[in-house]
Amino acid sequence: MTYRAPIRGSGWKETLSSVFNRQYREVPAVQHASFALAPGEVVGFIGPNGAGKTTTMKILSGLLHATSGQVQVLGYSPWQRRSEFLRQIAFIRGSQPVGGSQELTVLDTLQYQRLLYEVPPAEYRRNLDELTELLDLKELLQRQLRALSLGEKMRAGLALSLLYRPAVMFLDEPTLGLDVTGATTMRRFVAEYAEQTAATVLLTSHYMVDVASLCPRLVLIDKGQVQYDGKLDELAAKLSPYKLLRLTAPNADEERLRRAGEVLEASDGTWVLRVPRDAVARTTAELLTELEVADLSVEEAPLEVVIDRAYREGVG
Amino acid sequence: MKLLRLFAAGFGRSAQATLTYRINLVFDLVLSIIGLFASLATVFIVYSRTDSLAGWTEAETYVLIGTFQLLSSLKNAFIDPNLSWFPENGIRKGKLDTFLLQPAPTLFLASLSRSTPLSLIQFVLGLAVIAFGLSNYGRLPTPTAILAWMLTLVAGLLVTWGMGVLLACLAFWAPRLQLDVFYGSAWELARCPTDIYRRPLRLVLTYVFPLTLIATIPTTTLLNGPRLLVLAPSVIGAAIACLLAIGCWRAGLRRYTGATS
Amino acid sequence: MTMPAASYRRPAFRPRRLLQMISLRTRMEVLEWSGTWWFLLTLVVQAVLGPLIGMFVWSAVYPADPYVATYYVALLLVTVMTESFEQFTFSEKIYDGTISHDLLRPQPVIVNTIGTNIAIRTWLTIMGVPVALLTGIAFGISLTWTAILAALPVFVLGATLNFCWIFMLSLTAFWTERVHSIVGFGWTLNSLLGGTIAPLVFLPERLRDIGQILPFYGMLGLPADVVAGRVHGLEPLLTGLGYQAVWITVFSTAAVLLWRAGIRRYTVVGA
Repeated sequence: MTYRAPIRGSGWKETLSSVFNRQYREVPAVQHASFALAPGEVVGFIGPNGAGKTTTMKILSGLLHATSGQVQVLGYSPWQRRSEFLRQIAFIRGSQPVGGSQELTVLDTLQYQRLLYEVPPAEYRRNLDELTELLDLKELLQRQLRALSLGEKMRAGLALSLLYRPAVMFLDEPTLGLDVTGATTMRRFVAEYAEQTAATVLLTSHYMVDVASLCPRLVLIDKGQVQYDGKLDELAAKLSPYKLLRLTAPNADEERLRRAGEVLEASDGTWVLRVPRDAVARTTAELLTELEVADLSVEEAPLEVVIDRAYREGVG
Repeated sequence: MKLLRLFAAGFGRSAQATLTYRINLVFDLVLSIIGLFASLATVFIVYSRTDSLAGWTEAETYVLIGTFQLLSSLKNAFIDPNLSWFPENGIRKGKLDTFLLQPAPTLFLASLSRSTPLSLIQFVLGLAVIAFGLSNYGRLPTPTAILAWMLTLVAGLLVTWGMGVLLACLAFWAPRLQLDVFYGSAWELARCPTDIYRRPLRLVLTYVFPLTLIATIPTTTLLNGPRLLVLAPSVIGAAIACLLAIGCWRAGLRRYTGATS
Repeated sequence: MTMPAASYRRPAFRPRRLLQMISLRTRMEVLEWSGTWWFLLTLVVQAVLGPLIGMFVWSAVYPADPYVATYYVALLLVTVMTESFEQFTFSEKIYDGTISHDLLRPQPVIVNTIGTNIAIRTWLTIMGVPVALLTGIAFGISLTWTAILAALPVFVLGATLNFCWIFMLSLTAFWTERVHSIVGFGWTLNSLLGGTIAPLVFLPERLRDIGQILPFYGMLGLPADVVAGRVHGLEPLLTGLGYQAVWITVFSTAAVLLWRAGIRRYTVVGA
């Protein structure tokens, strides 16, 4: 497959199919995994533990050399780890947000990063100001890395990686262990960054909130193979043939509701019904004419439930 | 050029990190002075019983001790911190990944980005000891001898770096092996003129594990003037050590990026 | 918790039980350390290095004197068999706070420290004896059984003395982070005045007299000198034993005092 560089050179497209034998177990980590990302896309990369997510990310970032198959990122072969390539990518892992000496202050480390990634001084100052603003770093700059809390480390880690404006970001469980505020900041920031710079983002997470709020597109991988690749809501539709009907009808007859669908919850005149997807329109119309309905809404099944089902039963 | 700047920045970072612990600084300073005096005391004790140790006079031995201090300090400052870091953190804990992702040669980052600037105190002390030895020796070395001496020191440093990298490379294949301690122990053998060792050991130290380059060869070069028969093999040996190190490192990286998860 | 330190040591002193606990602990530790043979090997290599260099230097000075080789082979063995590493096995526990586990057990903390010490020495002995044998054969030395037997008492006291010395230094970990530097300093004294860089008889006269009185000779050089047949008659042997006993008393008393002050500080600050 050929690939034409887009404007700004920030796109990438890759085909990947590799057989991986880990050193000690004869378990193929990633096999026949093929997918491509368009420039500027933000894609959620999900799968159960041990599905091969991190391995794939390592291959894409050049940390691992696939035994077979083709990988192209920004037109480069990642495993060659050319400087021009490395300068355009960032790989951020929630499990180790910042490497390097922990005795130094955040600012020292940022300055080293500037040298390493050859960021021009003017751009460095501009980016630094912007990042300080967005990530609320002002208080952190003078502090030593080892003295930072996990949430602060993650913010510092983001600043270190985004200082050189990578065109491609690999985020491996970026919200791991963060509290609600930290995770929200993280998500908002990634979304903003992707929008502003048109960077391509591949994100793994076990928290469906991350995926749901950031990624219009989802790649689901399991046992080293791509199980699903497409829109998030389409996956939900495919996996969950039901929708939830939540209605408030104080005088409703329970018998009547049971005929409309399975009653999941009932309290104080509010009911939650599970209704087959294709019967939703008809059932809603019927209920509205027959009953005295104070309020009615149609909801998708919670994403967690959908994904759990995909992990356990596969995508069908 | 970029590498030099990075190296300077890394050194600066380490210096800053060191300065955060002021008491440790004093401790290390005192300890390195005590260590130096202990080795000077050894020389003093030996020469209180004899005039010549395997053909070396007291003044010559002081120059040797000083030269040994010079290279030891460079080794402690720039090579050891990386070497001891590598198998445990780099391989077993996977921190090498960070370096692999950075746009600079990985070998440079892994083998030279850490340093303990405090060890350079030994360098100054070493120079003082050499000066002391030379003043006792009674004859100043010629400018060519000094130039040749520097050349052998550089060769010694390169061999030290190369051997360090080779040892570290073993971690790619056997992550549990931590050989830096043995390297450090063997290194101590260079503290004495290699002429005192018996024949099989001396040959090993000259050709296989060239610790003679650390102190004995530079010292004889400084005191007796350069000899082509010594200089040429030293330079060639240094080149071979570096090439070997780079080759092994590449092979190791191929293995590392090919098989771990 | 600001319980007075003394309450940890309240149980009555029962030597038999103490010995039982120590031997139990030693057995456990011997098994535990068997998995780290590589690390133990690095310890042996570091330990034999000093004596070997000393041997090479002094053999070059006195090529004809059989005393040099015999002394240094004996010294090598003594060094390997009596090395103490409390700066690792004890001080590190203070630094990372795991000493709290030991404090919670109904036994004196020192039981574990002694157990570990004996276990490591056992392994070092097993690995060090072949090195000593090889060196002995290479340098063609001969030992007499009577000399070895005569050296036993000074060796045992020397081993105890070494432990007391290093343990005392390691206790400074309660106050400073640089215990390794402190022990390193102690180690320099040991090799300078204990007989590693030169047998005591080769030192200049003034230094030799001081060395005889200081504790370091009793830890290393004295047992080696007895093995090498350099100590003639009962009198110098008894004098040596006397100095060793005095220094053991001094160091162990100091260690107890340091321990009490340190543990009070530790429990008050909390970690």
